[in-house]
Amino acid sequence: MAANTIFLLVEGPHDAEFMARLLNLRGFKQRKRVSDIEPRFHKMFPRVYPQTDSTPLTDRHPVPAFYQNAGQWLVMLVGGGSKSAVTLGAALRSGRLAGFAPDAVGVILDQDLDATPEEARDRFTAEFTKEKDLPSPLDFKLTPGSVVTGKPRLGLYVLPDNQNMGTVEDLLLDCADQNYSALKSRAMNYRDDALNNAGLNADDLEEYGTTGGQKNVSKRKKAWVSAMGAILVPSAAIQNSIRLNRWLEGTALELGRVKALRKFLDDLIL
Amino acid sequence: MPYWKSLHIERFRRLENLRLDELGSVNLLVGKNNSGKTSVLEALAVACQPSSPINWINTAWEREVKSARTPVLEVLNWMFPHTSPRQNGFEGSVVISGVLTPSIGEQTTLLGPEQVRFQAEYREFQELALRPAETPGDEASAEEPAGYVGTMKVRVVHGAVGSPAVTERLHSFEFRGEKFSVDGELPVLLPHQFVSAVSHRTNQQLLTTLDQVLEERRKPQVIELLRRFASDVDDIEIRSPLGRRAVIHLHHQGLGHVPLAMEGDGMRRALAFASAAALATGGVLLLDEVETALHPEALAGMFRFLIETCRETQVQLFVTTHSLEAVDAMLSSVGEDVDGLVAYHLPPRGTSLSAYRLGGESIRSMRTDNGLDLR
Repeated sequence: MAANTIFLLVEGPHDAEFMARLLNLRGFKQRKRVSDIEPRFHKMFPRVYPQTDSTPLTDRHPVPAFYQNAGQWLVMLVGGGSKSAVTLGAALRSGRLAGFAPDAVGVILDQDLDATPEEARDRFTAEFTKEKDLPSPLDFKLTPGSVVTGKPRLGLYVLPDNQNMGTVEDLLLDCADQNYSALKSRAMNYRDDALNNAGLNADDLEEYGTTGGQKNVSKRKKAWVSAMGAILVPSAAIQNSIRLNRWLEGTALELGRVKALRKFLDDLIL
Repeated sequence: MPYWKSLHIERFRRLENLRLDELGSVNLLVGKNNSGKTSVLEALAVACQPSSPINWINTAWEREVKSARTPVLEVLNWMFPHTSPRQNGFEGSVVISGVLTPSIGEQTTLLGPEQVRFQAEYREFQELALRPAETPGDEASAEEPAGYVGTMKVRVVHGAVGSPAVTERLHSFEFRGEKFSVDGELPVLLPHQFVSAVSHRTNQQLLTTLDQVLEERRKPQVIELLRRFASDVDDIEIRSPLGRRAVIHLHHQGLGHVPLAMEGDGMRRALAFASAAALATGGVLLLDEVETALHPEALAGMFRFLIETCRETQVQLFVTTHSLEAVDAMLSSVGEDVDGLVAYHLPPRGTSLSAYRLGGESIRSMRTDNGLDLR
């Protein structure tokens, strides 16, 4: 049975925008105004800023994104690291306070620095089991990539493909091969050349960690994507490029790893 | 000192089968209007002394300003669940149970958790009297209404959790108009104080409570809270200026005695809280709509005082509120002792949902980490 209310947890804003593109393909549209969002969801976002006196004014406001397709609503929650479990816990409690429970809950993780998708899953489930006073227990110790039936339906996906190490940037680079291959090639050359020949010192290169390390690999990919985004949508964050440009169009949608993620969404939402 | 570990309101007013498990030392009740928050406080008040008709009546009257109080029979009647319009021959029952447990590290007569259950059966009927004969010497004829009578039987059963041995007491009361009779001693399960949303507007209630505060020599505690609202307050007295009726006065340094009626509502509210907190020693303090008459910035100071006082005097605190500022003030006041703070969200009437419990860590996570509304 199709889920009327879906919670989808992702780890960062790039992941969120990537999933939003896939949701658009399914007919979901984002509702941005409070007046366009069903009242039962109004407890899920803060109405006061800053939240408390100890909240830094520079902190980003944690607000879910709401997507609607006819009678279906999907609430996209953005966590990030250890905050992911807390974010999902708070959302489930808010739902309970408003008198509803989601029909489906999906968790999309990345395994930037972990050895296996299972370790990424275990890291998340270990944090999630610490969440207290949940309306009902949810067990996310699932096979990465799977959706299991139940009340609610549960799904867990580890980017980029439940097998290899990586993040959403890996998927974006795959997509770039289809629609921005020349731009990608130039972005890669630009970045690699700059790192070696632009007179950068150790402090400048601190973000990349040790040469050959996984952090180095991951940051390199993020830099390639950022360089492409900066060309396509200057002076804007990468998620704007993901939203506005042709990353997820045409043959990019038929790539194996993108299709797998789309199927995961299909199985979760129905 | 024992306190409530759990409460099960099987039937009381319009509450039905409401469970509050794992109560804390500070308990917040939130929910929409008409979800029964005040009724829960009343149920607790009644449960603290179920065998006392005075307690039942005073608890019901807390909703009202004294000058407009509902008659005794009427107010008692509506403490019992109704399923149809009120009529002659009404019968109703209230059933409340719970577990009392001593606080850790205390001297107490309780050896362990004790299960308490009381059932009150109320019946109301119209008395009839023979109409006097119209002509002297003739027989009285016909009957005419002679007022309503209410009878209440309260059965209290308590015993150690898990033990078959119980103590049972039965009390009966009869109410005729504003009068009632009782049989035997009326034991107190737990001392308690109830401050309604309007208590501070009733001079007589404030006077009665303050009189008790003075009798028990707890005035310094009361002054301490009042000084958080007005730092120049250094005394409180009951005076009869010009030989007229007794009136509460606050003494301000430099200004002298000022009638309480000249103070703002916030000060009156603070007095109501401070007096009740002082008198609730070893028992339960029930505060309804705690934010009433208080500026949001005053709430933090108020709660710090209340929670410190409750800790010192071994008082379990129950608070209803519609205010997020009150929730946040409560959070900041409990500090590191967040485990003692619990919130219960009562569902709207007519739904099948149960009360939703949130522990202190969850409250902090929702409010501080995510800025979310839990009312």
